[in-house]
Amino acid sequence: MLSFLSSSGGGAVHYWMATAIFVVAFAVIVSEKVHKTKIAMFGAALTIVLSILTQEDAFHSTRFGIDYNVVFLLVSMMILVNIIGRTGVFEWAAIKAAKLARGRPLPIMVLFCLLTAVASALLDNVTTVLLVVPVTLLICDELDLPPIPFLLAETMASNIGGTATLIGDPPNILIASRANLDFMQFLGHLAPAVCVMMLAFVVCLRVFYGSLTVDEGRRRHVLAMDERKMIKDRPLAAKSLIVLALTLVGFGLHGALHLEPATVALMGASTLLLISRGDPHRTLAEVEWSTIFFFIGLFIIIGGIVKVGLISDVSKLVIDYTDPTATSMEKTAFTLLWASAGLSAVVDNIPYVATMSPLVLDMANTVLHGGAADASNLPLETLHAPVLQPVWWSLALGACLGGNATAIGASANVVVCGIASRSGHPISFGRFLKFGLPVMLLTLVISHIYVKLRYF
Amino acid sequence: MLVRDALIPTPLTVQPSATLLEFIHMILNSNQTNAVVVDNGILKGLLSASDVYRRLVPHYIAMDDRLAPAVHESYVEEQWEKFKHHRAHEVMVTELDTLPPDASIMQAVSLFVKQGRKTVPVVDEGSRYVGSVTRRSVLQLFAQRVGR
Repeated sequence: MLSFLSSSGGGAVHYWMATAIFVVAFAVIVSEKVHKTKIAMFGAALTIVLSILTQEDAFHSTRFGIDYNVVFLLVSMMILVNIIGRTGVFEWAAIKAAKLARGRPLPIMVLFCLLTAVASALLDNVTTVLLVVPVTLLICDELDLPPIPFLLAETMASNIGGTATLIGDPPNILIASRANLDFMQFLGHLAPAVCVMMLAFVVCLRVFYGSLTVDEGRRRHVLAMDERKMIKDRPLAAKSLIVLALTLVGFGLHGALHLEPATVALMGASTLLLISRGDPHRTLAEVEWSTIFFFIGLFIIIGGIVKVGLISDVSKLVIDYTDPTATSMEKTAFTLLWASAGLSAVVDNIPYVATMSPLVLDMANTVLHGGAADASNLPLETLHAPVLQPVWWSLALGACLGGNATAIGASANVVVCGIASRSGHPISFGRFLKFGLPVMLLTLVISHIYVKLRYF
Repeated sequence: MLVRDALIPTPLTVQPSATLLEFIHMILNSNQTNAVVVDNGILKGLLSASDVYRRLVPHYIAMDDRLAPAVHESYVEEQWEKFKHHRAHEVMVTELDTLPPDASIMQAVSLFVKQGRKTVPVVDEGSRYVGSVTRRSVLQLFAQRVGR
């Protein structure tokens, strides 16, 4: 019906239609007036209906279509986490940590933050905070401590920890898929920076919350807790931990095994589904399908602006401004680091990175191949070129860490603020900003120094 | 069969100003676990033992019931001391499904089954409370009409 749009003159028409769909969708996502999944799916449908992409492009093309590596990695990890979350191992670890800290506030806060950071590096951030927040509220209630400092600290720790690995935060999953970077590369390049950040963060906690004290009688409540009662299904807990460990080993070896991370995660999730009792309906129903369809819609909308050449045009602007060369992309890397952090503080970092990843590919094509190669199918030696590495890592660091600044900067922040409010401890936007912004700036400065020392 | 056929005209009622302590004593002296909150004949809400439990159980247990064994033994007593003087109007549920007396009994049964309701208040056109239908009163009606 609308095929006239793709006939003569369709190029310019498509260019502006794709741009309009992208800009309007992004604006509505940022405004939060309509649920982001609805907008992404509607934008995707329009992209196909208006012949900006063919259905073949959208559903089957690796250049412009849905990135099934990301989709299956997310779904599989959600399945794994849902089953593991039900076993109570996280609650067991948290109570064990509180007892290890002898019921003292600051050591509990530090241990909970470390637990959250490690869990966030291996699992999804939102799931991690959903697991850690109830047990934190329990411990604070038992110790008669204000829970907000703990909740804020754990939210930050979750966002910092999630930065360390390929599977820790959705922006990293997107970057890994676009740049063909493997799990060990993420670990090797990002984890050292994250370790330094966590050390600095612990010092911050001491400065902000070192004065918290607790009554001796209340401490005894915590010491009397029996963490073993937290685990309801021991065989399932054991199976889950074994499958998780094997999946992590699989991630570590996926490059050598020539398996995509999605395949490793799918193997882990399906194995755990197979060996756990019960109907898969419940587990599958708990997959965040709304997030998955948000990604699917986003891939198609962005495929549209890649195909019409908008990404290529913006990439030229970035090249003009940051002046990357085949020997150094220092200005590009640092501009991306700080701009990504600034934007991610107020904008969802998933659509941002989904847009920026093809832009970096286009820039790499222009700078390293004179624009002669196919930007969405660059050779591995280009994707992993030492000159391009700091650009990828700066994008990941900026996008993941920027979210710490505000209450709306990351999904984990929104979830924690929601639970805190329902539990009678509302966290105002200002209160979040007062702690979040200094933490974000601290981690960004560490990132800047790290990128400078390691890559330039 | 209509709702009016299964109506209990005089179920437990409490004033909005009644305390939770008074409410607990009232239900312990009856075979009910809930009461309608009525003010000058107008239905204001429904108060049940579940609403009292919700005050005694912290939000984090509702989120993650695995944590229940970790709460110290005297927690419920401390909470009870805190909440026993709260008033019915502070705790009652105000978003209610009500039915008129001439509604079909199937509408009441549907609320029992699909919404998990135990009691459905019945109000007339002027929103005046005229009684309630309960799972028990509807079963009694069934037994009278079709169970013989």
